[in-house]
Amino acid sequence: MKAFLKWFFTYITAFFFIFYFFQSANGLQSTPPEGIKVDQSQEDAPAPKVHIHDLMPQMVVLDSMANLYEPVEFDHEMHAVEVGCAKCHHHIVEHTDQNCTIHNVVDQTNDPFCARCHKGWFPGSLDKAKCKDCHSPDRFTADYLNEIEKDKDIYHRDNIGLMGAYHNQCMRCHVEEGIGGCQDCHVRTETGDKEFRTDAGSSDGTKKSSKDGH
Amino acid sequence: MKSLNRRNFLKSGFAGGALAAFLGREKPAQAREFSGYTNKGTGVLVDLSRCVGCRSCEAACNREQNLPEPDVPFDDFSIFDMERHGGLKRRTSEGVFTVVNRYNPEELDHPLFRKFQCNHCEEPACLTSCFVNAYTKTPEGAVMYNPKVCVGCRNCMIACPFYVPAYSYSKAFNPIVEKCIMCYPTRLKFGKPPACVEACPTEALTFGSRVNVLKFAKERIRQHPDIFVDHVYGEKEVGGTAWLYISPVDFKKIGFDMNLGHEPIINYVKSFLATVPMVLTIWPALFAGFYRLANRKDGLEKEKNEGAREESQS
Amino acid sequence: MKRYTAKGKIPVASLTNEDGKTRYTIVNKLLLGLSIREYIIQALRNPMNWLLCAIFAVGFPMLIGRFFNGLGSVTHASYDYPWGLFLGVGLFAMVPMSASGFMLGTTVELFGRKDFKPIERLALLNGLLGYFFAVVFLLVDLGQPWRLVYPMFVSLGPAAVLFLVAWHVATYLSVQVVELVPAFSEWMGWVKPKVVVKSMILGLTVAGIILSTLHQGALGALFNYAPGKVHPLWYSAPFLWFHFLCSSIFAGLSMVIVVSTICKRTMAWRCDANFLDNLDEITFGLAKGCVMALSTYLIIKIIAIAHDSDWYYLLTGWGAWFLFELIIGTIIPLVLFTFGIKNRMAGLIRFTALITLFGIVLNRLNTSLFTFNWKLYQEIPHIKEVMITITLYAVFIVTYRFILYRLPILYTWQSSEKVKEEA
Repeated sequence: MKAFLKWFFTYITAFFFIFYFFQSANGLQSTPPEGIKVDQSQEDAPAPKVHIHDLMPQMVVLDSMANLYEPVEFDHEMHAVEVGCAKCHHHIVEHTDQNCTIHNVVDQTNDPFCARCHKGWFPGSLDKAKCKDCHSPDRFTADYLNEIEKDKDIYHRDNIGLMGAYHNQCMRCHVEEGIGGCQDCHVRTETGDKEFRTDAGSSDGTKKSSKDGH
Repeated sequence: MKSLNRRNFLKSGFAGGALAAFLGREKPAQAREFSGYTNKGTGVLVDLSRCVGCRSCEAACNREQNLPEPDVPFDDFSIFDMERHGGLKRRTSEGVFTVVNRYNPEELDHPLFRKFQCNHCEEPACLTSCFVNAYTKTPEGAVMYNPKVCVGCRNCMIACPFYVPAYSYSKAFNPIVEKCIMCYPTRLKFGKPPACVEACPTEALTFGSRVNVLKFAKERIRQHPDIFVDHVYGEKEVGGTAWLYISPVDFKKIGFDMNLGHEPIINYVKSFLATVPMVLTIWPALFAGFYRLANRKDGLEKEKNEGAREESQS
Repeated sequence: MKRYTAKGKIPVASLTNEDGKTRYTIVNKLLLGLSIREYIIQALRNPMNWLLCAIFAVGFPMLIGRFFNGLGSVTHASYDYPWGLFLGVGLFAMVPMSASGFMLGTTVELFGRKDFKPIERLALLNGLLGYFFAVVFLLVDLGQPWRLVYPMFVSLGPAAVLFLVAWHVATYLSVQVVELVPAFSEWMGWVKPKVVVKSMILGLTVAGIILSTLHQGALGALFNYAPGKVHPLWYSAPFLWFHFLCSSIFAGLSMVIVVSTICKRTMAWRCDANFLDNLDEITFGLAKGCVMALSTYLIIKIIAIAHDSDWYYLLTGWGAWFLFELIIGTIIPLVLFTFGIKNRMAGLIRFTALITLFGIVLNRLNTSLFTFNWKLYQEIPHIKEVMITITLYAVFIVTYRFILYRLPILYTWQSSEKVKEEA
């Protein structure tokens, strides 16, 4: 009985190994998530000489915190010209060539490990150049968290959300430039004023609660 | 197989089926070691390198928990210069469940901000010290407090190693303990992150299952050894906490107590609690024995007297 | 009162008056056999009463204020220092000083040392009142004192040390009430209760030992919850509860020595010969008990330091403070008690007992208040907090005196046998 079981399991295991090997050999590249157009033709065809500045948005309206702050009109073009693309769009190799085109701006998809999921995401398509394509605006919703929990194949589990991504990228320079205050970019709404209790302490000069509790 | 059979035989033979089933669920030998209920609860990772000290979390907390008006508005950063008794930084209080403090460690050219609130321990000291069971640790990880049964002994405040619970001393008729409840009733219960996490613009607070955020913490340290010191505060401190911290500078320099040890606070009390049943069971027999010994002479005399009386009677 | 006794008035010490026919009424007994006028005159003559009145006049308004304006208005209790003087003095120092009840109960009833009988009731009363007032202090300190019974009946947290304290203090309080029923029933002229209690005295005594062992220890174990807050020299997870238990033994005995001294000095008219004549001998006996407990305490204190390897701290300022406490509260009493017993100096022993009490109060305050949060800042109690504490102690003294004047604690009830025969 014991011997039989041992052999049986060995066979089964071996079978699965072989099966899995063929599977992975077949498709090193897993299918990209839905809704992503992968332009495979771009790989072979000569790249069209289109300047990236003509394709990118000039103005981006950021309104995810619209209840506390007025939407921010982000001057995308100005930032691209002033500080360059790679400062914010990481995974992009900055080209000194002024004639840089979109088809060769991405580096890491050439890495075989990255290519397993990301091959064809960037070249020839701007679909995946938007921040929110990778950085979820709903980073901590139950759906998002469950998805991470369920799909064991996701490598970038600790992927910062959209708001965090914006601020971590922007604040680095903005603090250096001395425009790091919240309201240097965001105009607070009335709800925002309420949230921050801007009226506090003014109504009566006395402090009601001291910090030690007596 | 053979041995198994023999064991089964012995079990059924000597102990009986029910007892065997009971013995079968043998507890691991290292039951004393506590590693927390890490698989179920949620947690928050605080990345101190990301915090910019905007106090949005404080504002969100105030709104979500319907807390009273603060001393100064939440966009007033002069509060970072405020010192309380003994030159200490701000702490949580009645009406303030979370505070952000500013530190200026010399190895950094910029200040570092530290958010502070209830850490929602895996084995909470407040819970284990409460004699009316006012505290509960929910499966989601929040440490909740029930003001309806609280007597106001404030033992939880003595026990809390992080000095978190605050007491509304100013109230005469219904003073209660006030502390962060991780927004359990309004948000956490429904799978939503606490209000402070949602409000944080730089995502210095990462919400998720504690297991996951702990992995994130270690991964961030691994990927950026140049930024972080190699320690996740709260992974093991006092038995582990739901809130975890990673920091670019030595934790000691930014107000963290590094001497808390890895044992949950209740472990320090267990040696006493173990004596309780011993005293309860041994003392009566022991002292009854003493009594018999001490009064042996009286007893003997009495017996002798009785004997003498019987003799005389007969 | 002294003057009245000098004039030939005999304070009530029996059920019937001198002629042995008419029974004293309750009013007679309450007024110690004086008329109301006489009673008031003697009360006014006593300077102690004036002092007490002054204390009450200041303290009671503050006490009432505490219940209407909250704890914050009278104490410096803060978020960092949740426990202040009320618990430090009223609970943590009061309870060990009241260990006398179970100590003497055990000695007399269990070990059969009848030579301590004259002081047994005083020790029991001291225990009862001490515990009762510890509870009173607790009620003043609790945020919501009207919920005191919650841990008993409403919401139970049986794994907490405080749960143990609550239950044991409550149970022990009732045990002590029962133990004092004989004294009360003699005074009231009842016979049955005394007989009933006498039949269960052994059980009560053993219950007293168990409950005292556990809750005296539990008060120490309460600080086991604060390993990072109490200074390491005062903190020791495995030993702290035993320190508290062991020190409560000599604290209780010293308290009896001190109280009996005060009784002898200020109310000799109330003491009978049985008490006064035996007191010196009893005091030596109690002092011997103190010496044994003190030496044990000294050794386990040192063992606790060795166990946690806290020697380094002895060289710091806290270490000096620790040594001060240990020398004043343990070593000096140990030497003086031994010297006093050997040379039969009752006066010295009485003085030493006072030092020992100071030492024990210092130790409890050190643990609960002075070295608590040694890494943060020092808390200074609010003036009102001090005043309320003094007031409650004054109430304690008044109650104590009221009972001593009346119930047969310091004297033996004279005619109980006669009454029984008549009945």
